[in-house]
Amino acid sequence: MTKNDEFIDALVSDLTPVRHHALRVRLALTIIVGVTGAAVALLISLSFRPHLHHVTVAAFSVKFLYTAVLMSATIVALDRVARPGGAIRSMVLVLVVAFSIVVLLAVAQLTLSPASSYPGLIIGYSAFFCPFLIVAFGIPAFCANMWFLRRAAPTRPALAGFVAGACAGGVGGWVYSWACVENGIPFIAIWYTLGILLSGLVGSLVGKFSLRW
Amino acid sequence: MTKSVSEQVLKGLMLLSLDGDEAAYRRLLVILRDLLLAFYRRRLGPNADRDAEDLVQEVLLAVHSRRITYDRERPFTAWFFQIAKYKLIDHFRINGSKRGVEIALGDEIAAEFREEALFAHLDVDRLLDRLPAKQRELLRQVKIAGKSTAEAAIESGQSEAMVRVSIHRGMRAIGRKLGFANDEK
Repeated sequence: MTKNDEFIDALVSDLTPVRHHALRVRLALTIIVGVTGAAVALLISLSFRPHLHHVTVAAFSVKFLYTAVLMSATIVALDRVARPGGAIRSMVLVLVVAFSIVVLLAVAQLTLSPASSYPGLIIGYSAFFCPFLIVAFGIPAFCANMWFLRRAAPTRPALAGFVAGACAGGVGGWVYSWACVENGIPFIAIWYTLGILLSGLVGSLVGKFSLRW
Repeated sequence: MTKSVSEQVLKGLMLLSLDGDEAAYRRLLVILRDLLLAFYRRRLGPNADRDAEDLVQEVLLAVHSRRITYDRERPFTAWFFQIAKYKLIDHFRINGSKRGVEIALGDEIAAEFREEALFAHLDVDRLLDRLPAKQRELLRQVKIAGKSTAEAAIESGQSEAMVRVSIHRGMRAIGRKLGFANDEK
């Protein structure tokens, strides 16, 4: 018991005040780092990708808003899983609704368009690298998110890792949408979602092993 | 009843601790230590005192180093219990005990935990001594020896309802003496 008392003494002497919403301030910094990192990645990638295509306002808005919603929902989810016992059911619901709306818009666009335009709307110019670029743009955000979680208290490491990855994918996708050349909403529904999911799966694998504390 | 009492006290201490109050923090840690020790000893069996003490230290350290993750708007016991449970499951996992993990995951622990929170930091005998003899005996049998109210009723010759009322009054009297009266009605 005396060993225990010394232990408590040590903890008490190490006490420093914690400000209100300290964790959220830390999360905000984490996201700023992630978005900045993705923006830098975008600038670098632009020198490799010539900008020749005309993007419609509708396609741009859907991309921008869809990824912004996914990013926001996963940021909230990140705040939840960073705390012991954090559950994210309501955020999953938001993600499912957002995805469903984009799928509906995609179906609407396809029915309004001639069949000859389908390859352009679904595959476009960049289907084969878009998901990977979204993952790549999200790498700085992913590192920042893991840094954030490793200093927090996630009690479900794989889930927390998935959220960290999906959030990084959301950040990467949002920044990617600023300069994406595609006009197809089906393209967004498929390849953007795939990129973000891929990022989440990688995150869940990494989290499973590295988020124990 | 017992839940709100212990939650109130612990949460109050936690909030003071977050603001840097060392005395409150020490009180909180001592209460949590006693509570955890009883909790883990019961979970791990009589031959694992060392393990229990290691776990207690680990949880206290986690509470300390992860205190930023406590949301001031939410119940303290829920937050704390999740950490205690996480560390217990981790302990079973490291030792390869699948059954242990299943036990640890059981929801009934949560309820037991809260009740213990009330008792852990009390000098129980001293408090009981100030109660009327009959009430004291009932509390001892039901709350400490773990008999059911039905058994206690038969032994004391009272009706079960009377036993319940008596125990309830006793608990309230103890609460008042400790300064966290819980007299809504």
